[in-house]
Amino acid sequence: MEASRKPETRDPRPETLPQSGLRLEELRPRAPEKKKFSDFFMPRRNKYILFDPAKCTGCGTCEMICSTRNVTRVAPARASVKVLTDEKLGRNFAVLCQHCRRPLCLEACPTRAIEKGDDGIVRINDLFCTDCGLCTMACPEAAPLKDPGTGEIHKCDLCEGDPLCVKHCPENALTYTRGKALRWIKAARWGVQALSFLFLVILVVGTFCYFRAGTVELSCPTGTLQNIASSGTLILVGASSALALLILTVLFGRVFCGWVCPFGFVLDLVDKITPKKLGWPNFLKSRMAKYGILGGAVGSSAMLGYQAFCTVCPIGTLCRSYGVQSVMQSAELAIVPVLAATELAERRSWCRYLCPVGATLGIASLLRLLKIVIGARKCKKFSCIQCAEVCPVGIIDADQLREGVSPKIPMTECIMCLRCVDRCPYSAAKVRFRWQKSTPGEANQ
Amino acid sequence: MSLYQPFFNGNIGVVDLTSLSAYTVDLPWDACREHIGGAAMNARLLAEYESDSLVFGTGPLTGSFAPASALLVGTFRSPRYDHLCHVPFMLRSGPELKFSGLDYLVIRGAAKEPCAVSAARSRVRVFPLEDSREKPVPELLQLLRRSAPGFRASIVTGPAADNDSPFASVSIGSHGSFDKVGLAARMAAKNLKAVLFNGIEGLPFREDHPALSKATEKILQASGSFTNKGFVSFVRKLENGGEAAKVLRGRLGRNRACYHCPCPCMTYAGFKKPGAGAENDGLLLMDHVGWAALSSKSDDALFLLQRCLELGLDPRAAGYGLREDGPLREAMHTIEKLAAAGASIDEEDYPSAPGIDARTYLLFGGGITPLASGSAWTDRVAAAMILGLCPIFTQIAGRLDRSDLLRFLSSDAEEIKALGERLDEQIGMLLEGKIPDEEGRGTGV
Repeated sequence: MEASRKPETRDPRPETLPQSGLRLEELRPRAPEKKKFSDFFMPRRNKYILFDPAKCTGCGTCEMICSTRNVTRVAPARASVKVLTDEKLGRNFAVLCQHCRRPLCLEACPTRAIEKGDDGIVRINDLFCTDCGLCTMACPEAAPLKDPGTGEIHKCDLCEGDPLCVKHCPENALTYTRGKALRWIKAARWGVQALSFLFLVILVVGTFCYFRAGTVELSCPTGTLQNIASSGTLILVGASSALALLILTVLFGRVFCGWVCPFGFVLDLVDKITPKKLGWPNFLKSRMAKYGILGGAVGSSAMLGYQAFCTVCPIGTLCRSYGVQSVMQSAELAIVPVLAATELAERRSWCRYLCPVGATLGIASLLRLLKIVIGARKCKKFSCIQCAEVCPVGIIDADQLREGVSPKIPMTECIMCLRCVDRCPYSAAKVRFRWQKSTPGEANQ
Repeated sequence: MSLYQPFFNGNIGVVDLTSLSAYTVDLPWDACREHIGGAAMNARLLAEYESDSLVFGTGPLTGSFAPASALLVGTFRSPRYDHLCHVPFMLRSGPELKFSGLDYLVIRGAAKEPCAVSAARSRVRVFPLEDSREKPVPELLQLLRRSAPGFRASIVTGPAADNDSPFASVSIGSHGSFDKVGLAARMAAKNLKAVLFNGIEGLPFREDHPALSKATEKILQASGSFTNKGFVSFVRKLENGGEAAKVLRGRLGRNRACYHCPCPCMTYAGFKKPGAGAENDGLLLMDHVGWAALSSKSDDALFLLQRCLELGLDPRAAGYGLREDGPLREAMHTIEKLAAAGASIDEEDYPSAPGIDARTYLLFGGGITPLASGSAWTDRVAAAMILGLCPIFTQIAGRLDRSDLLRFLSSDAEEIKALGERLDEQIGMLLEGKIPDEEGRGTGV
């Protein structure tokens, strides 16, 4: 009599090989990610194939040529590149491997047959591939393709650095590129940040908190709020001097946070040398906390009779303490490394969750004129997600992009650094006026 | 390189609709060498089977590296004109038949109930298609996707053919075709609703094939020499085409090319259906002659064209059947009547293509865009129909002469010369409307 047996469940990722006793890690150890020191400042950009849907005519030459290498036959159905066309409206959509920086197919492969080389090319090692097809399911682009003839898995290997599809495309709809040669927005932002730091911190003392040159007065809006609360009187000159930053925010959004803030510059530098992040526990991740801190700062100022938060404000501390004449006050600087250490957990943690100045500007940005839009129709590269990766405040929803939906960007949280606009290889991220409804790629459909 | 391999698979699929059986026979290589292929070989195969048979065939260059190698030829005895006709099909239908492992498809007899034929993996099968009668083309395609999933190209007939309308036209997918001579009626007489192709076998060309670099060079050369691309630039070359082009102003989307063609002659057009609110609709404009006839009759010509395609009706017939500037409701009624065989058009109302012999024009389907005239048109179109290239491309690709095309078949100068002579002979036979017998000599029909 056959005993009833428990159905065997198959672990898709066996950690130990049954007979040998070897762990997969010992048999096929993952290669450590190699990074040069220069990568921290100017990350290596590997070449990839960029598809321009506006130029593509759907002739299928790329598929044809790819199959001659892939399966040594002209068989477009078995190519590693696929051009899909919406047969009603004619929108083309190329499915091809993006050789992601962190490939999901590589993570999903149970036999570690997928490897990412130093040249950035993600390859399938045929020796280890069992054609299980998990990589095709893991890839958001479905770029690894199961051969309908043989059942084998094929994946673009960029023809080892000389892609045939790019060479033979009659319309030049495919280009093999490292992306934009010079990201001028990035260069401009770093330049402005460095100059602001030099001006606000090194050259002039106390400029951000309160600055007066003749009849021109500028002051920090959060400091002004605390000033009003602590003194109990509304000083019109002081309030109007805080308006300058608020007007700037209404016009351009929180550009101060992204381009000018000296503490933001410090955080960006810390981020460069600490690329790996530890993360925050979920219960600490509340973007509303900064509004609470703002309320607390104003309330405590009213109770204590002096501007309580300003004494520990990292921005003000930097401005006040590092001047040539303020060596004595440099003890205050101790707050700066403490708060800068939050960068180890998440990029711009201070700006995301804690900064009351950012909260004040966030409230002002409710009246903003500009917004950032990302058109999923234009990018249509579900595995690219570079915009979400570079966003320092983490407000671009990568999951929405993977679903082909244009993400809604909360502009009160956006610091207008324009990293997404700069990085997007498909020009799908744009700055638009807030009343413009369409997203890139929608207008001409 | 030889004419035999790897340009042909060496298989002919034969379907007997009377017994709903199908089998495969070897390609007679001697006959293939004699007739080269395409329309000439189709005519030869038709002579071997019953005169009411229908032959779909490819040329030697179909699916090869040669530019615009997209042609499938449907050969039959036209019930409307009572002579042999060769209807060209482009997009991907030709390569898909060849990549399915078959070179020719002979369809004999007539089924009692509606059925469809499918070619895949070097085999052909016939299957019943219940509830398909009088289904509009898009619905029929949905039914086919359920009955035979995975097909990559299709040739279907619509309700107009089911109703024995003399103006019924076969459709490639839902895009229409150049059939103006009654192929749809022949298919309807056989109760054949659709022919499906699923090309996953491919042809054994490798990436290092010597023809590849030559082909790409020619394609890029040709692509650069076409200054005007897209549907409109082709329509403008027709008589009174300027007006037909004007109707499309502001409605055009992306251009579309057939398989491996450097010159897209089709374009997607978007429009709003009358009474459908803001919902956008669109279709692929392929039939230049049909559009030129239809567009002059109504401002809603795109909507009317869509209805013609749904019904499987020749848009040119609809164009000549409509009253100029009549209301949309009346135009729709006329189209429905034409599709239901309840209206007629005097054949003499059809102007023939200027400078081209009317019988020769009808011999090749009666819908190929006349971009050249006289013997230039005849010569280039006939050569394309035998070699398996797009007859529109061969008319405009002035830089590619016949010897250029033959060089894709052979690198041997002597063989090219012999091929050229045979091609001339076969063109002569086609134009005389003769069906060649087994010795290759033509016999009058």
